[in-house]
Formats: sequence, C-alpha cells, structure tokens
Amino acid sequence: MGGSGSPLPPSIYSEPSRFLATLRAFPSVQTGPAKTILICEDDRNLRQLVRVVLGDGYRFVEADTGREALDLAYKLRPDLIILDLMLPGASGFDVLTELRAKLPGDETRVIVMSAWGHADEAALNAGADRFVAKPFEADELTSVVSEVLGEARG
Amino acid sequence: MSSLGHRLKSLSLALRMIVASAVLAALVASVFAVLINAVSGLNDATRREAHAKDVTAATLRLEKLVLDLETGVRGYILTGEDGFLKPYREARQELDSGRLQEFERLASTNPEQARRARNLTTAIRQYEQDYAVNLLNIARANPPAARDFVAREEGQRRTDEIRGQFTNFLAAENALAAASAGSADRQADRAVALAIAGLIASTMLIILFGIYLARSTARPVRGVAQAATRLAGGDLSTRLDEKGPGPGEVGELKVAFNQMAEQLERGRAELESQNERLRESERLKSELVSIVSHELRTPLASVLGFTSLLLTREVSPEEQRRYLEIIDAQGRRLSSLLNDFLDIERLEEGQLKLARELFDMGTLVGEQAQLFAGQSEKHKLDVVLPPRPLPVRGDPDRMAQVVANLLSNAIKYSPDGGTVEVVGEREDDRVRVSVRDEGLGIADDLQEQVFGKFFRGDAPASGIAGTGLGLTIARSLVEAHGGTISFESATGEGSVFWLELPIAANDR
Repeated sequence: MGGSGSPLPPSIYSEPSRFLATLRAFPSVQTGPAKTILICEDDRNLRQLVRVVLGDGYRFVEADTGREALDLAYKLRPDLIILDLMLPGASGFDVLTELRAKLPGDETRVIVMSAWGHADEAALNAGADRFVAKPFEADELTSVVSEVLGEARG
Repeated sequence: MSSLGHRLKSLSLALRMIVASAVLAALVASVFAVLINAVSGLNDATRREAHAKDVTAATLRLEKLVLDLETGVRGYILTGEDGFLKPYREARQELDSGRLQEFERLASTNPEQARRARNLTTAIRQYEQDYAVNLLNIARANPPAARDFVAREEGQRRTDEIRGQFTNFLAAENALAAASAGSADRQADRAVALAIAGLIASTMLIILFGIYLARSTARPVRGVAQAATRLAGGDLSTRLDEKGPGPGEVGELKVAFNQMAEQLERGRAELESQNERLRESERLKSELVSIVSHELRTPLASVLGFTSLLLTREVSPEEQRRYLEIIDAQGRRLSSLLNDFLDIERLEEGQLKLARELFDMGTLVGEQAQLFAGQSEKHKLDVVLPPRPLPVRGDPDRMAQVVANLLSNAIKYSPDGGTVEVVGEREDDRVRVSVRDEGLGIADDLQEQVFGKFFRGDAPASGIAGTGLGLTIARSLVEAHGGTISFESATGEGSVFWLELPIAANDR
C-alpha cells in the first residue's frame, strides 16, 4: 500500500489488463519529460476520445474501474487523473476521497468528468481541481487540462 | 376467599349490583324481623299484665264473697237476726253463678296457679257446704250450740286459711306478671340494640358497596376514558390491560376498545406503508430520469466528441473511418437506449399492451435462432426442439424480443466464440426455453444485479455494446406472461439463462 517505487507488488501482475497498462505507462514515468495522465473511464470510446483530443503531448494510462485507478495512481503517481464518477465497483467519489486522503493535491491533479452535470459542486468539495461535464467540447477539455497542469496555453 | 374474590371479579356488573342489593335487603329485612319480634314480645307482656290484673280482680272479688259468707254467718249466729243473712245469701248466689269456674279458667294459663286455684275453689266450696250451711242449720235448730261452735273460732280458722291461700295465689300471680314484664323489657332492649347494630351495618354496607362500585366500575371506566383520550390524541399504540379489575361489562368494553385501537393502528400503518411505497416509486422514478439522462449523455459525448474532431482536425482516412464507426455505433446505442427506456416505462406503468395469442414457442425459438445463426462466424448455434409444439398464450412479438435478447447476450458475452445451445422443452405444465453459452460468465458477486437496470457487468470495459436494460425488460415481459426467468453462471465457464412459461391448454 504505502510502498513507494519498485519493486512492484505482485498484485500488479495478477491481472493481465493491469499488467499491460503498467507496462504501457512505465517508460514515460521513468524517462520521458511528458506528463502522465491517468484516464479512469469505463467507456472505451470515451477513453479513446480523451486521448485523441489531448494529443500526443502526454503519456496516457487507462483504468476502467475505480479500484484499478487507485492501484495505478499509487504506483505511478500520475500528474493528472481524469476521473469518471459512474464506475463499476468503487465510484468516482470513493476514488477521489481515498486519493485525497493519501496523495497531496499539488502532486496529483484530478479532473472529474461526468455525465452527472449537477455533480460539479460535490466533486469540487470532494477534492477535484476541476469539473468537466459530458458531453464536452474538445477545446474545453484541452484548456482545462493545460490550466490544471500549469502549462501555457498553446 | 381469593377464589371467591376471583369469581366476584368475573361477574357481570348487573349481577354484582343484584347480589349487593340482595345482601342489603336481607340485612334490612332481618333487622325488621328482630324489631317486629321485639314488639310482639312487648304485646305479649302487656297482655300478660292485663290478664294478671283480671286474675287479681277476680281473686279479690272471691275473697270479698268469702268474707261476706263469714260475716253473714257470724252475725246471724251471734244475733239471730235474719237481716244478717242478706250478704250471705247474695254471696252464695254469686258463687253459684259461675264465679268459681271463671276464676279457675282465668288461672288455667299457668299450671301451678291452676292447681292453687283448684285448691282455693275446693276450700271455698268446703267452707260453704261443710261449715257455713251446716252451722246455719244448727243455729236454726239450736242457737246456743251454734254460738259455741263459732266461739271455738272454727269459722275464723277456715277463712284465715282461705285468705292465706289467696295471698299466696296473688303473690304468685304478681311474680309471674313481673317476670313476664322483665323478659319483655330485656327483649325490647335487645331488639333496640340489634336494630342499631343492623342500621350501622346497613349504612356501612351501603358505603362499602358505593366504594366497591367506584373501584370496580368507575375506576376501570375512567381508565378506558383516559385511554380513549390518548387514542384520540393520536397515540394509536394505546392498549388496555384486559386482565385488569372490573366487572364483565368493563372487560367487554376493554376488549372492544383494544380491537378498535388495533384496527385504527393497522389502518394507519397501511396508509403509511402506502405512502412509503408511493414515495419510493416517486424516488425510483426520479432516479430513473437521472440515470437515463446520464446513460444518454455517455454515447452522446462520443458522438459529439468524435464529430467535432472530424470537423476541426486533420485526421488520416483510417482514423476517419474508425471515428465514423464509433459515431455510428454510439448513435445506434442511443437509439436502442431510447427504445428500451420506452419499453421499461410502459412495462412499469402497466401500459404495455400484450397480445393474448396462442403460439408455438418451438417455432418462435427456431426462427430467432435462424436469425442469429448467420451473424457470427465464431459461434456455433445448436438448437434442440421437441417434435411436438410448445403451445403458449401471449404476445409472440414480445416473446421473440426476449429470446432474441438471450441469444444476443449469449453471443455478445462469449467474445471468443464457442457453442450456443438453445433448448426448447416441455416440463410438466410449463414450457422451458434455455440458452447456454461458453462465454465470460458472471462473477458471483455481480449475479444479484443481473436483472437490474443498466447492469452490464464488465461489458463497458470489454467494449461490449448494450444498454443494460435488455434483461430487465426480458424479466418484466416473462413475468407479465405469468412465467419466470433465471440463470446460472460461473466466471470463465459461461452462463445458462432460461425462462419458463405456463403451457397453454392444448391446441384449442
């Protein structure tokens, strides 16, 4: 749980999908200057959309359940988590609450992205940096992400 | 004693009052009986006194007659004058006219006095016959001899003796009268004491009866009244202890009161649970609206997002095609979501009109299997149907929708292919259709939610399309046909879903 860095605990290897996701993410964490974004969203198409919209400037890690998102967050310490609220198993709120209890806000930013348009206040109260409602505009998402990551708008 | 008290408690109010009144009446009656007895005793004593006076008067009269006899005889003998014989003759006449018999009769009430009276009358007769008549005869024949005789005081002796007897008799009579009067006095005293005691007892009994009535009737009645006030104030859980004190009528009142309270409470509980159900259905409804809007927004986000990408960015033809495929699939998903929502809505509102046709489930299953057979190259469809028809009454289009849903799920959730086995069979008085796949299966901890709205298991992550409403609709439809739907599943081994419908009365 609280172990930082390698060696990775066996749980990461126990499920193929997690293992793959970890492999995909690892090189960028260790070497690249690009920032890591963890996309936690159970709809595959939307994950792809986010990836495409944000472009090649980031390293992406994907999780489709809340539990997986937490595991990846602790292992990889991503710069940003884009978090859906309606997730199978642990909900986005559960993930957010636990994250905020364990990871400092200036290290890991969280953007909550949800079709629950009226959940913005609750998400911000739970520790989210920003809230984006689905469906979202491509420009809106890119500007919010660069703002949160402290990047100059380009 | 306690068993008597217990029996008293179970008596009815009316019976208790009757018993208490009877006790009072008996007490008052016995007091009066004692008084009447005392009064009649006094009457007896008065009569005895009057009788004693009569006896005394008769006695004195007799004594005087004897004295007259003596005086007459003595005067005539001493003087020889005929005039002295007048009182003698009158006395004898009176004695012979029944004075003696009357005296005996008066004295006959007491045997001792009767004996004394008989002795007296005998002595008087002897004096009259043996002495007076003989002496007068002697005096007429030989006056000096008679005088000598008198001188010897024979007459004096006899009359003294008679007088002595009279004195005894009178003393005895007076003693008797006095004794009678004394006993009457004592009886009267006792009667007065008894009457006073009876009056006090009656008064106390009346007071006790009043207290008893108050305790046994007024108090329980007040308890009922207070309970009724509480009940009227809204505390419907108010109950009375039916075993508490109080006569039968109060007990019945309590039982009736408790029944009434019970009924009221049940009625209110029913209303409250009805309200609760209404609130719950209202809550579910708004939850559904909220979920629906959420479920619609997710594919809409894909459609709008990829469309705007295509419109605003330069993308390669391959990417273009991929995005368009996503838009197409998500558009279709939106469409089927809307259809499913409408179905769910109509099913839940009970507004979905179902046909009541007789149809062969075997034929229907065969047709549906045929439709799906060509859709997937990876899957092998085995259809097992009996030679005889499987008659079912209901809506064939809706049943086709259910079977299609099961088949579609079987194919969708076995992405690696395999055999899908469809079996139609008759089981007692039911028609059973089962669809077995060799796919992903459903994890144990998710099995409870399978028929719930928007449940899709791991489908979203695996990219399997669907609304999460198909099985919800299927179950509602099967249940609307009087049937059941169920499944068995194991992760990694596949699932078998089956439905059972009542068989239709044969081919009529």
